[in-house]
Amino acid sequence: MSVRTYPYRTPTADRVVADSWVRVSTSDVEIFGGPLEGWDYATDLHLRRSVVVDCDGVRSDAGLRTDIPIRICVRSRPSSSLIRTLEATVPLAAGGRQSITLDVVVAGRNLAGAVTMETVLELAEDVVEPAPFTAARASSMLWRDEAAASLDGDSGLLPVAPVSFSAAGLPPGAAWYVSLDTARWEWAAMGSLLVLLNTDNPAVNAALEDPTTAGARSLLDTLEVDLVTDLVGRAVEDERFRDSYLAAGDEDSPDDDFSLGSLVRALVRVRLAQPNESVDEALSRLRELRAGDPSYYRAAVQHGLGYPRSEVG
Amino acid sequence: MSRLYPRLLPGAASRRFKDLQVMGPQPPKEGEEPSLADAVFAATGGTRVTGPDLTKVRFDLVERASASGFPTQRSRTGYAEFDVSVARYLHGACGMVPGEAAQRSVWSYFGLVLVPDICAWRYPANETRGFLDDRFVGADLTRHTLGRLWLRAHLLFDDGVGDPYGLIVALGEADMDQILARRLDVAASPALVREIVRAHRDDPRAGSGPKDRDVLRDSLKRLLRLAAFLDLDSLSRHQLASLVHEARDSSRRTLESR
Repeated sequence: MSVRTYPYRTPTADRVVADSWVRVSTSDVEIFGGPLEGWDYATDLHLRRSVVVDCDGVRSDAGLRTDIPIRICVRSRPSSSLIRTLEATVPLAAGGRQSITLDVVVAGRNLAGAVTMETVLELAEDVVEPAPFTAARASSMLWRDEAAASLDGDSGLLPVAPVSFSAAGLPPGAAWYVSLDTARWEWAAMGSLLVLLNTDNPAVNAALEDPTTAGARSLLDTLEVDLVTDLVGRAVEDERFRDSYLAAGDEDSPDDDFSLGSLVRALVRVRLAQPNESVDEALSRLRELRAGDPSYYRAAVQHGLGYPRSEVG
Repeated sequence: MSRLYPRLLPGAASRRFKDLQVMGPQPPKEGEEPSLADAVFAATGGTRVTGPDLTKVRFDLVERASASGFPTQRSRTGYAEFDVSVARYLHGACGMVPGEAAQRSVWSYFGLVLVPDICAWRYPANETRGFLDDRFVGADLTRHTLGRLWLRAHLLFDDGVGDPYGLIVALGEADMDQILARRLDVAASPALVREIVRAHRDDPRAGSGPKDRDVLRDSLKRLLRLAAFLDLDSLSRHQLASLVHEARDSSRRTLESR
C-alpha cells in the first residue's frame, strides 16, 4: 500500500468523517463500491455521501489561520481514459463542525471500465505569508479518500438491441427475441449473439427506462434463464458443437477465448454442472435430459441459475 | 446518444496482427462492407454503427489520408497534416463518447479491420521489427495510430473559442507525446494540458535561449511534482495559467544557468 506524504502539515484523520458513497436511483439506494449492474454510457451515476468536517481542527492541525478558506472537491476518474472530471466544489468557509452532503451526477458518457471517486479537502485560495511547513497554494490537498466501482469490466457486454418488433416483422406482442448464430461455435460469442428487446412491449419499455425496479429485474432474470436454456440446448443438440468441443478435454479447450462454444462450456462449468461432474459429463447429461424430458431440462437450468435471482415484490 | 463501434476481440486482434506482418494490410475490398467477424459491440448505451456507416468512416479517413500523401508519398509534413485532420474528424464527426473511445478494442478494429492500410502508411514497417503492434492493436491509447489522435483532440478541445480544435496544431507529435506520457498526472487534466499547450504556443521568448522543447520537458517535470499534492482539476483557468507560466519561468532560468 502506498502512502502519500505531503510537503506540509495535514490534519489528523479524525478531523474528517465521511460516510460511504451511495448510488441513488429512482427506486433504490445502494452502497457504491461493487460492480454496477446495468450500467451503460447512457446511465449517469447519481452518487451521494455525507461528510462532517471539524473545520477548526483541520486548520489547527494544518497550521492554518482561522480565516483561511478551505473547500471540499469531488473528482471522478475512469480507469479507461484516466481523464479526471471535477464533479463538485463545496466551500467550507466557516469554523466549527460542518456537515455537508455531497451530491454528484457523474456523466455516463465519460466512463468505462471502472470509476474512481476522489474526495479532497483542500485550500480554496493561495495563502499570503504562510507559516513554515504549512500548505500555501490554492488546491493543496489536506485530506483525501477514494472509492472505486467497476462498470463494464473493460470488456464487451451481452449485446442487447431495443427495436420495435412490429417494424422489424417480429411477433409484435413478444418481449424479446434471442438471435443466435450457431453456424460457427468458435466465433466470438458476442458477435454471434444478439438479444432484441421489443420496444412495443410496455413491460420491456419500463424495464429499459429503469432496469433497477423489481419488475425489471424479474424480467431480466427471465430473459437470462430463457437465453441460457436456448443457448445450451442448441449447443448440446448440435453435432458441430459436439465435434469441436465435446470430444476435447477441458485442458484442450480453454473457455476463456470469448467464443460462443467457450461461453457454453463456461456456463455449464459454473452454473449447470453437478459436484464432481466434468463439463463434458454435464453436457452429455443435459443433452439426454433435453431429449428425454425437455421440461426437466428447463427446470435444471432454472436450478443452476438460481432463478429468480432477484427478490420479487 | 453515442455511436457504438465494433470491438475486435483480443485473440482476433493478435491473429490479425500476425497476418498483417506476413501479408501486409488487408483493407476491406472495394464495394464490400468492413467485416464484423470477431467483433462485438457494447450491450447498450448507444446506437450501433451499421455496415454503411463503417464504409463511410473508411471513405472519410482514406480521403483525409490521400490529401496528405496516402498511399505512396510519405513526408513529415504530410503526416503532421494527417494527424491534425484526422484528430478533428475522429473527435468531432464520429460520435464516440469518451467512454467508447477509451475502449482499446475499438481501436484494434480500426487499426486491423477498418483502415489497416492507412495505419501501415502512417507507421510503415521497419526492417528489423516489421510493423509495430501498438500502432495497430489498441493496447495503449497514447500509441495507437488513430486512438492517440482522438485523445489528442479530446484533451485539447476548447469549447470556448472560435475553433475548438485550434490547439491541435500548436504542438508536434513528439512534444505531445511528452505530455501524454504523464497520463496519470498531467495528462489526466484536460484543462491543464490546454494551458501547457497555450503557454508553449504563445511564449514570447520562444526561439531564444534554451530550446523550446527543453523548456517544455523541464516544465512538465515541475508540474508533475506539483500534481502530487495539488488538486489541479479544481483550479480556474487563470490559476492554471499562472502555475504553468511559473513552471516555465523556473525551467527557463535553470536551463539558461547551465
